[in-house]
Amino acid sequence: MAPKAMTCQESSGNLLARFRQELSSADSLEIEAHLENCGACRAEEAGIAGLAELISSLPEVDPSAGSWSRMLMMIEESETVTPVRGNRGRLIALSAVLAAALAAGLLLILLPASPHTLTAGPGEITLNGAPVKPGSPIEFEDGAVIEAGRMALATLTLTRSISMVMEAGTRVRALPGGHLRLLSGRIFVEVDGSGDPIRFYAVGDTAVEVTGTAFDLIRNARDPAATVTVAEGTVRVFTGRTPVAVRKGQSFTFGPGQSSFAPSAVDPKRTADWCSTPTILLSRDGDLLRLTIRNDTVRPLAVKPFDPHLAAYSLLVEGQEIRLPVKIQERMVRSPVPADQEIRTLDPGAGYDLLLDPKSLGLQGGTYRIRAVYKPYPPLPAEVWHGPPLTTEALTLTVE
Amino acid sequence: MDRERDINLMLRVKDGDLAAFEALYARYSRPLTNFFHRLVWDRCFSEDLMQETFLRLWRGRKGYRPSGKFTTYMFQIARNHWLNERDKKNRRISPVSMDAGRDEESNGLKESLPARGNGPMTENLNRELGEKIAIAVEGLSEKLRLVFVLGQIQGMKYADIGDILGIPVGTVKSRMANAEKTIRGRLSSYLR
Repeated sequence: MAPKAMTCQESSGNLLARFRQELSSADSLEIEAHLENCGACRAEEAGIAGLAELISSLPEVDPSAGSWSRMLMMIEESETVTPVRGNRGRLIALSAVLAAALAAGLLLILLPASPHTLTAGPGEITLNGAPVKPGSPIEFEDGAVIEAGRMALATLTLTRSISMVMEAGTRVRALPGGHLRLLSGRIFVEVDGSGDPIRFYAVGDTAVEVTGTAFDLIRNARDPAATVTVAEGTVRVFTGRTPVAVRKGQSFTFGPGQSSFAPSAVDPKRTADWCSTPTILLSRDGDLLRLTIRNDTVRPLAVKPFDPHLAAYSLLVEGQEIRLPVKIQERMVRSPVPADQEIRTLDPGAGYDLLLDPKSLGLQGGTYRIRAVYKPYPPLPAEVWHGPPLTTEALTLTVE
Repeated sequence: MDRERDINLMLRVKDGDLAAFEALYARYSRPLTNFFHRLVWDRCFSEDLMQETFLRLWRGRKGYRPSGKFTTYMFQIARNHWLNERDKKNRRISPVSMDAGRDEESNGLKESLPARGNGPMTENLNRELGEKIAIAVEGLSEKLRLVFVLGQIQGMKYADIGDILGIPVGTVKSRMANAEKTIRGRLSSYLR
C-alpha cells in the first residue's frame, strides 16, 4: 500500500527543518513529493529562504577595541591577587589568579614592596592624575596609575638596572606584589645587564628573559598576541617550547593562536628609534675634523662627551686609537656648546659638532685614514652592542 | 576538532590558565556579543552582557565538567545571565512596540543596521529593513525569541538549542517554526 500523502499542515511544520537540513531522509523524501504538487508550500518554502537571506544581511557586531583589557580588569577586580617570589629572587612565581592579569599586553616587573618608589626621568608624568616633577622620586601604593604626558615620551627608572620609556599617553598601573601592568600604549624597556637575567611576563604564560638588552613590547588590543621588537642585544622568549632568541633588529610575535615561531626582520628605523646611543659622523671642515654627534632616536639621550673619566669618543687613525684628551676637547675651535659646559642630554633631533684640529691630535704632515669611534660608558659587551655603527666610515685626511 | 580543542581549553581554564581563557575569549566573544545583540539590539549593552557571561565562566571554572560541547555550556551561562538581567529595571533595554517608532540614536540600533548599497535611498532602505527585523525579533515572546536567535541567527542545531534551553528537541522545533512564521509575517512586505 502506498504511504499516505503528506498534508499541507504536516509539510508546513517540516519546511523550516528541511531548510535547516535537520529533517530525516524519510521525511525529506515525503516533503519533496508534497512540494512537487503543492504551490502554496513551495511559496512558503521560498518565504523561509527569503527570511533567512534577510536575516543574514544583518551586519555582525564586533566587541569594541580594548574589550579583552576590560575583561581582565573585571577579573582582576573580582579576585584576590597573591603573588609569590620565586627561588631566584628576581623571578616571579605567579599564582593562577595573578596569571590572569598577565594577558593584556602586560609587562610585570618586580619592584620593591609597596609603597613603591620610582624615579621619574625626563618627560611629563602624572601619578593618579597629579603631575610629578621630573627627576624626583615618586612613591605610590598598589593600584596607582602612572601616565605619560600626551605630547612626549616619559622615562621611569624602575631599579638600578632597569628603566622604562613610556610612549606619549601610555598608562601603567601598579599591581599587588610589585608589578606594573601596561594598561595602554607602548613601553620600551632597557636593562643594563649588570644583574642576573630578568624575566618579564608578557602575554599569558609567555615570558621574555632579558639581560643587557633593550626591547619594546606592544600589543594590539584586539589581538591576543603580542610583539617584542629588539633594539639592542638579544631577548629570549619562552613560549613553552624551546626558547627563541630574538636579536637586534628582529621582531617576534607570540601568544595564543600563533603558529609561527620564527623571528622576522624589522625596518631598521623601527629599532634605531629606540637606540640608546647617538649617531656619530666624521667629516672634514677645511683643515679641521668635524665630529657630529646627533640624536636620531625618538627620545632624549644622555651624552657625556666632555667628561675625561667617561670619554665616549676617540679616533682611529690608521688603526691606532687616539683618545680625545681633555686638552683637545678644550681646544675645540667651534662648538655651539661652551667647552666648559657638560652636555647631559640631547633631545630628539638635536646634535652638535666638535671641530678638531688634527695637529693638536699629533697628526703631522701626511695622509691619514681616520674613523671616529663611540664607546658607551659603562662599556657594553660586544654581543649586546646596538644602535648606530660603533665606528664611522673612514675619512681620508691630508695634513700639511 | 574544534569541540575537543574548546573542551581542552576550558579544562585548562579550570586550572586557572588565563592564556586558555584568552583563547576562548578571542574565539567566542564575537558570537556571544552578536547573540546578545540580537536579543537587546544595543551594542554597548550586548558587550556588557558578553563580558559578564565570560566573567561568570571564569568564576565558575572550577565547577566545569566536560560533559558536552563547550558552546552549549557557554550559551547556557549566557542564557541564564540573560534571563536574570531581563527583569532588571533601569537598564538601557526598553520595551518596543510594534507600532511605535524607535529612537535610533538612543538605543544603538542605528549603528547595527545594514548599510549595503551605494546610494542614500538604498542605505535608507537597508536601515529601515534592519530596524524592522529588530522590531520583529524583539516583539517575539521570550521563549520564541531565544529559540529564534539561537537557531536562525546563531545557526545552532535544534539539539544544541534544546540542551542550552533545557527543553526537548520537539519543543525547539515547534517554537522555531512559530517564531519563524511570526517574523516572516511581520516582514512579509520585504519578502518576495
